[in-house]
Amino acid sequence: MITILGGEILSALGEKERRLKHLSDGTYSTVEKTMTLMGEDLSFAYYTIDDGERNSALSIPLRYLEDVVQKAIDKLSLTSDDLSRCGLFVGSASNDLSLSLPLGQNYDNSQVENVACKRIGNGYYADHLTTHFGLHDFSLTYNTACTSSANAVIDAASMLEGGIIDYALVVGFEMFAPISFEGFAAMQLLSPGKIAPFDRDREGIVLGEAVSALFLSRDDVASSPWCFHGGVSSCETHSVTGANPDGVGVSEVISAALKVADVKESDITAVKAHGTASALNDMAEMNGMKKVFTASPDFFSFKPYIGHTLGSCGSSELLLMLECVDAGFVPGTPNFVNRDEALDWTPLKEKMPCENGLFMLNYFGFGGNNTSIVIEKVKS
Amino acid sequence: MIGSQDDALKLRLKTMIIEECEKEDITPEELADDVELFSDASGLELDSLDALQISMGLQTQFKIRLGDSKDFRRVVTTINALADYIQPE
Amino acid sequence: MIYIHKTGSVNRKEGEELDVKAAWKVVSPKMIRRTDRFIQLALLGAYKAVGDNVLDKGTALYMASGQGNLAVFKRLRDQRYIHKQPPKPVDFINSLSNTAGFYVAQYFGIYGKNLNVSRQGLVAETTLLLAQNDLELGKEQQILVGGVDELQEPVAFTKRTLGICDERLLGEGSNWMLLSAQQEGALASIDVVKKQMHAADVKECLHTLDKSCKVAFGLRCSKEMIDELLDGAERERFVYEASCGFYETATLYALNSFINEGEGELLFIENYKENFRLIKVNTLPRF
Repeated sequence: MITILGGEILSALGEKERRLKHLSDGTYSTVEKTMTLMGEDLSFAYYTIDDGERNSALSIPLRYLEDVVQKAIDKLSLTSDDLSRCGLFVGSASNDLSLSLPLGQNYDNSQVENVACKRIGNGYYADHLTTHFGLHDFSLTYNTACTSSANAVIDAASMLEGGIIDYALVVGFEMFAPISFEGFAAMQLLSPGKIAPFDRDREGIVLGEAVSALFLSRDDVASSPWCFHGGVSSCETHSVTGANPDGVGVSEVISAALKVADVKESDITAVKAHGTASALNDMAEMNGMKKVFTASPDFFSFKPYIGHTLGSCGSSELLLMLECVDAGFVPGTPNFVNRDEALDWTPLKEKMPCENGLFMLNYFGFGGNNTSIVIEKVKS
Repeated sequence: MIGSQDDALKLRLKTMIIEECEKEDITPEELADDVELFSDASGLELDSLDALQISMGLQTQFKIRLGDSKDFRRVVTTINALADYIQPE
Repeated sequence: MIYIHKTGSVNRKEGEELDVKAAWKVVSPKMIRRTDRFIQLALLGAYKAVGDNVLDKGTALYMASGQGNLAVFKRLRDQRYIHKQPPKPVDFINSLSNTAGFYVAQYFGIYGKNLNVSRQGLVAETTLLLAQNDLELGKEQQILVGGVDELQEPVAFTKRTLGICDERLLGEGSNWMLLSAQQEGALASIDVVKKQMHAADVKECLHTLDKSCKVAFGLRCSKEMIDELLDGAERERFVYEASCGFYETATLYALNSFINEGEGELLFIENYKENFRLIKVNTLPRF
């Protein structure tokens, strides 16, 4: 049995006490970010990591990563021997700054001599964390867009099951990146206002940043009330921009996840929807759920609390799920007001008391990548 | 001159659309002025990602900003209509 | 034990010519639109392995790359900082996700798990270990594993960012193999050694290795390191290096070359930062 030990997260919700209050009360905070697109100034809401000392230095990602992993290690009292048996699975949809900054400076090929002869770029963060914390040499960095760290969780569980590692650290990493922000605007996917998943008047995504560290193990190594029952990832080749709105791809991945987890749809206590509030994602997701669930399950979206954190949402939203249920509830979905007739089913508006159960977590992304995971918290 | 009478403008529009949508096997001459671009009749087989690319092309090359997909569908119908929108007189 | 059923390689050394677009256009003129050179390189390599065979729809695809699609990142950079333009939607999509894997899956009509993974060093070895584990556990029935790296100009800059400090030439490639746990019809068996190793473990392994087994070293193994590991022992070497410039997934080129050219058993050794990974390949009789 694969156990989920817990972890730590840096997001717009702040420290644990504050984030549980937000998640319990259905509140959140955003900042305004502006961009100049074709000479026009545009302003959008953004969920930024709550950190007073913030600046844009290159050292910030590494500091955040070290900080969040160290806090998770301390919380779980992991020893250096535990860590030496711990593989690393990093999920991120953004390019590694260690290379993208030199590339940015070298656009006119004037900086060639200033770059040290040292491997940088994709995998740099993972390499740094492995060395810094003395981890097992198994590490991979996943870039499958919005399913990156969810797929990292599935593979971490598989490597644990195979006995190659005894612990797994899954890191979800996404920080503000101008090209990504402007890219979403160019795709006309950003909401001019707030993010309202599954609402009739939803207008699109609000982006956010999050850095999370989540530890997994096996019950013969480290026990936990939380376990990972299984997960499935598939690639729907309908469109490079996402799932087919008819819900076929979504329903297939959900059904397959239930099958590998060996549970029935009626056993699911609540569903953490992907819920990006983009017109087509919410449509695909609901049509997919309707093909599998005979009646609407209790479902909600974390996106109004931390924004769409892209490659980080897999592990970040999984961790928030653990924290909410450990605190005795499943959160509601802020900003949901009006039922969309085309979607029919509606998300939880308010939090729902819940102390244990089976939970499904769904993630869908660009490149047709669909992922569904089933976890459980057993009664104490 | 109203846009739909301006052959040079229409050629620029057609060239932009073919380039942005990477439809290298179609020449501007083959693209009729009065065919609905997003219909089967145009032979272009365009989808929503093409609409975004065309939207960007209109913005960068013609300084026309279409805020969302509703504006786009209203304005980008045929080459003649688009040309008239860009150059009403 | 897992098995290699098909292999395919596209490989180019710095200075050689390779028109990827033209080559891919011959295979699939319809799938040129929206694909850039990196994606076409992935498609061409996968096609060399699979050809016109029909794959089971549930086939998974694990694509490894040292740095991923850097060319599209550079295009986006130039659009933003030089031309002061927003990202083009098609470029943005190609940069954000595992788009190359998407197009390969679309071409072959497969909808299984589709991964895009990277690592500093040992990326192919680690991806093969993951694939082996998933096949042995029965998580997947069949996996198309690929490694794709595109050579970036200016080469001097790229070399530094790869940590290649000597005078050797860089290269690029797209090397693929189809893996499953079924032996029937396979070209070779493959065993990715699960244990993480240091130099002393590798020496020990070489010491006890059967004399008939050939040995090949990865491109991050220096001549001094190889001499040190062999420790004076006479081993028959499988040499692929002459046709291959440095790129991070060249390991798959070496393995594919052995299967296509050689016969018998191969121990492949690669390292990164004092960690070693070993892969054993054994060709099977062909009928």
